[in-house]
Amino acid sequence: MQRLMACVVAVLAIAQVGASYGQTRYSTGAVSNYPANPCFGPNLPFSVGSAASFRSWYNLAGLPNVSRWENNDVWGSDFRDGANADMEAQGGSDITDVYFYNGHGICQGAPVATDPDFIFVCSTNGQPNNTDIGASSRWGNGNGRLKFAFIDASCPMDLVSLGNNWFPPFQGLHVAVGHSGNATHDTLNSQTRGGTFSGYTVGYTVDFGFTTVQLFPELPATWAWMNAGLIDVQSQVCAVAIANDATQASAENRRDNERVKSPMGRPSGNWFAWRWICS
Amino acid sequence: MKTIIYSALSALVLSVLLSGCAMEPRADARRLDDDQANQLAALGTNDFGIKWQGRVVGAGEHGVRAVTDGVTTLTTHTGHRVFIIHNRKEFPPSEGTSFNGSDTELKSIGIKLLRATGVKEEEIADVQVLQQFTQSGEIGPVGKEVRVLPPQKSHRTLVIGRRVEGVEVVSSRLMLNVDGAGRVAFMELAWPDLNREVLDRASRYLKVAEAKQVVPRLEGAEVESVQAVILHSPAVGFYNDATAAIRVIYRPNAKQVGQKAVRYIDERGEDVILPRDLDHPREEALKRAEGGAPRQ
Repeated sequence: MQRLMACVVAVLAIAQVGASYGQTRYSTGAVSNYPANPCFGPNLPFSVGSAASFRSWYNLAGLPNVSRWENNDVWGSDFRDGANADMEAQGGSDITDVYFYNGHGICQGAPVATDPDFIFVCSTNGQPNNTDIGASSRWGNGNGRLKFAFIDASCPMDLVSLGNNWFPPFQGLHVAVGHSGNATHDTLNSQTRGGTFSGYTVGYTVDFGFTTVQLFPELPATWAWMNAGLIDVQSQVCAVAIANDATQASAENRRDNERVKSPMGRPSGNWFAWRWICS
Repeated sequence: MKTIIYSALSALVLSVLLSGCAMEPRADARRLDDDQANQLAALGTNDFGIKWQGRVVGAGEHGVRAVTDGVTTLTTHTGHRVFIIHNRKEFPPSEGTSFNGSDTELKSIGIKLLRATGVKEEEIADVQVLQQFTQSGEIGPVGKEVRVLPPQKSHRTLVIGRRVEGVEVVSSRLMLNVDGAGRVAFMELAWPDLNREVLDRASRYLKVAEAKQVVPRLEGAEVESVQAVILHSPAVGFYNDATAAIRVIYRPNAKQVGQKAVRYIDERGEDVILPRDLDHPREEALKRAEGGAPRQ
């Protein structure tokens, strides 16, 4: 009997460790408050709510939340490489598997290949508030574990400058999504885009033991973004998804098939594959 | 030997217990009986041309119902023209299975699906075939130079928007991806009937939007556009709310700041209550400590 109990405890412990190790963890960062002084304005009324919808679907899917900071508590340094930056223990973007950001970005009038892409927050901490993604963001390096970077921030993924701005941040990162646009063709702050995207990335399944029925479909991250990324955008805005791997074929496979709940292994290599659709 | 048997048995018992816990359906979730499931499957066949591959099973929760044969799943919001169809074999699509028909043919397929569900012809607006593209590139091993290959045309997605009595229903859409044979591979149709009160309010807002008198200022931005719109809950969600609103889009004064602010207001300039998608769990307020430390 004692042996049986020992086995039970051992198996339980192994199952518990296995479950927590394998489960995708996520964070959100949303900024609605952008006072004109010092953050230029305007406020984005739906950013915080959009992140809440994002979390609600992940909560339904049973995924553990790492952080969910809002407004002044989302720091610029959360998106820059470094021990006290994207690895900061409370809210760095590289301490989690999935990070969803909603807030301002920076758009050029007519972007060219050498123009940077930005995330732009508004906080008294972790300044500067703007992060040049290509120059400063590095995800998955060292002890970093970010696999999915979901950047819902206007023009953070301009197609014309993708090689300069989005190849370098992939240091173990699997898939990233964002928008390409310009100052006159931009995303609109949306209360539904984040939630619909989130719902499609994890789906929702009703499980009766021997029968399961998926009420809402679970799609690979790229296809979830292709389906949801053009909600509430102006004309000529593109939803873009990019992935990295060792060969062209494996990067394309990862781009089109990797799912949040069952991520593939860590990528390594110099190939990048991206997909986009424009309004 | 006994140890192995004990371990195997205990692992089996535990896995059953653990999976039993994980499989506990939520309180409102229920399995559809065979009649209900077959009824929904028949709707899928008649309206959307779904060819079910075997016995179907169904489930429902909070007014959302779905039926599946393990390959294709049809989801609907009961009593509303809201549907999602997902054929797991055909979507995500592979490059070899693209629909080769013309854009006109793709549009015809979409409009036929809308007609099958009873959509009024005059509500169909903005029929667009969106071309997807793919591209690849690499960082060279020597010198780290970036090499980008030419873009390739990929799949096409049909998107159809909606206008009712002169008012854009910004939440409504048919989004359709078809397989090589022109059958539904993935479809999201959110086109619910709208009640008279919402339509009347939208009609009033058309005039108010033209006058632009109630538009609230937003610090750091100027008004770019003012438009009467109708909003409803998204297909991916458990609610079916709808409302009319005046949508104000703001252009940031600082030209470089991106993502345009939006407000949805009523005729007094006050924010309207927006349609819900799903219940948000209660979350404690948090305060982040300054001067954080790196994760160990």
